[in-house]
Amino acid sequence: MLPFSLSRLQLIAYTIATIPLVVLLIDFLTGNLTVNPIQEATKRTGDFAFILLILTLACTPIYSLTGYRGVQKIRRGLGLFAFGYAMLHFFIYIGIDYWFDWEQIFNSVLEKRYILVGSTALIILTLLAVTSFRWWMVKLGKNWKFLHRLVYLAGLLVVLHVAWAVKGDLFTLQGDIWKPFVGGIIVVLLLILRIPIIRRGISKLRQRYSQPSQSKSKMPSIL
Amino acid sequence: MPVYHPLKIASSEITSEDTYINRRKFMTAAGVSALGAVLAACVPQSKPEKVSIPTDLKVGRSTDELNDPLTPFDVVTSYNNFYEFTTDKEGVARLSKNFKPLPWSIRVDGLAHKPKTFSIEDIMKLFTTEERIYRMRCVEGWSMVIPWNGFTLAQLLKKVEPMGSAKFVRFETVMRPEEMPGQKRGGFPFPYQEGLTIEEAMHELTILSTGLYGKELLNQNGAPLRLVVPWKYGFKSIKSIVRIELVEKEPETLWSSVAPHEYGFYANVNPRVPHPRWSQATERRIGTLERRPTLMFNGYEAEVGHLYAGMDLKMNY
Repeated sequence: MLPFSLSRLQLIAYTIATIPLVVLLIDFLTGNLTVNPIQEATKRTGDFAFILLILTLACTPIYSLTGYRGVQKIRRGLGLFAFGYAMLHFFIYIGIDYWFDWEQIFNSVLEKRYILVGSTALIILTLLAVTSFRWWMVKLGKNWKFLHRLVYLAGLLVVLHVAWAVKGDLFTLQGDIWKPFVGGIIVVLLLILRIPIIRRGISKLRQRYSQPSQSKSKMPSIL
Repeated sequence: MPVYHPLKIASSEITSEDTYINRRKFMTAAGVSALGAVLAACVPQSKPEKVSIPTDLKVGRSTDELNDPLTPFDVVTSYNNFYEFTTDKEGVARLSKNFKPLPWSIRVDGLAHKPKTFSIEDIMKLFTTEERIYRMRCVEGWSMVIPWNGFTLAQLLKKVEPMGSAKFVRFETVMRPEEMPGQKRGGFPFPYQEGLTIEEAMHELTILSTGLYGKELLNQNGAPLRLVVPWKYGFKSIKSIVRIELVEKEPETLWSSVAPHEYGFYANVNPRVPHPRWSQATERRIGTLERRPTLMFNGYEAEVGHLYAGMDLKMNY
């Protein structure tokens, strides 16, 4: 048995989050990672990290919208998965694509704006992953919450990273921009749902909506 | 078959093999690249082997003039950037199955004394195709070596007798949203268009290709007729051309209208002009795992450098 217990939702969520990694490894070992495998692996791990970060950011708004507490239990796990894929993405790029060729990396990679915002987001995610343990939570107290609000910034930086990494211009809606466009809208929407006045409005609406079902006692209290 | 002079590449442009190997050894010794090494060892064929050419394919030689092996036919025909079909490079071959390259005609007009529409049959009769083994450097940082079959664009242009006022050549791809699903998607101002200066268009290295590896062009490679300009990034080599127009002013090109600060009109392969996204200093030859230095004008500097004498290549990217 596991030393810790997982809820059914956690089990499902973490299993699903692991599948892309398994598929990536299988495709890699069987030579199905296109004729340009490094680029493909970089792209895929980046996509998974982006999706998982969006899902992490979605947990709290889903909770305020539905009152379903279960999602809050997978928030940290999804965040760690997002961090894991982001690290893999980073190491494939630095280690396998550029073979830790620091001269190249400093001269022609670091100057690129999408790399700068991407690296900043990764630093934030690293900080959050490291301090995601209970020990840090207790130690940091009130500051922990402030620190972990940096995930909003990370979300926006990642949208910018993706926008600048695709062929096109998100701001003139030209080119192959659906990925940062859709991702960006979702991230911004998820952030808007956290604005206190909007969140309170939604939970009020929800309460009024579910009032007739006489399930008041089951209603979780909203922060 | 044209004879190429051995290219002189300034030794300063190339990482010497010793330096390269030493650096690699050091890295391995330091154990920093352990992960990379493990993964690299798993990949079959980390070095491109000399291709064994299937019998239905015809090539004059199996390497380019720098002794790098040809990119296998299967790879050249399965990894394509052709946004009229899809942005997924591996999906182009499948999605272009229903494209009909025949019948086909190309209008060559504009500032010409004898504008003319050529059918593809006319073209095959008028011009003898020859093999040209060229490096294809994609702006995304990967490259291939491809044995094209084609003829110089200059021959076609001479048939229509360009006027003295023709300073540029504009090319246009066919517009067929029913056969090209990517054209129905937003984001790109199709039809695809490209352009060259008249000097670039008349250059001996600039060809119109009708085939590769001795076979007719497949749809995913721009059937039935495409441009190949080997010293420029791949997107300049416009596919499935229906119109060639001689014009006075620099024509609009698709990529420079989508992202003007990223893609200029010239788009010469230049390791010294960085791109906001990809490193242009190095590239990965498809079939290998390592980055190799990108050569000035993709290794064709001796042939085309004079076209840009005195030009600020950073300004005119």
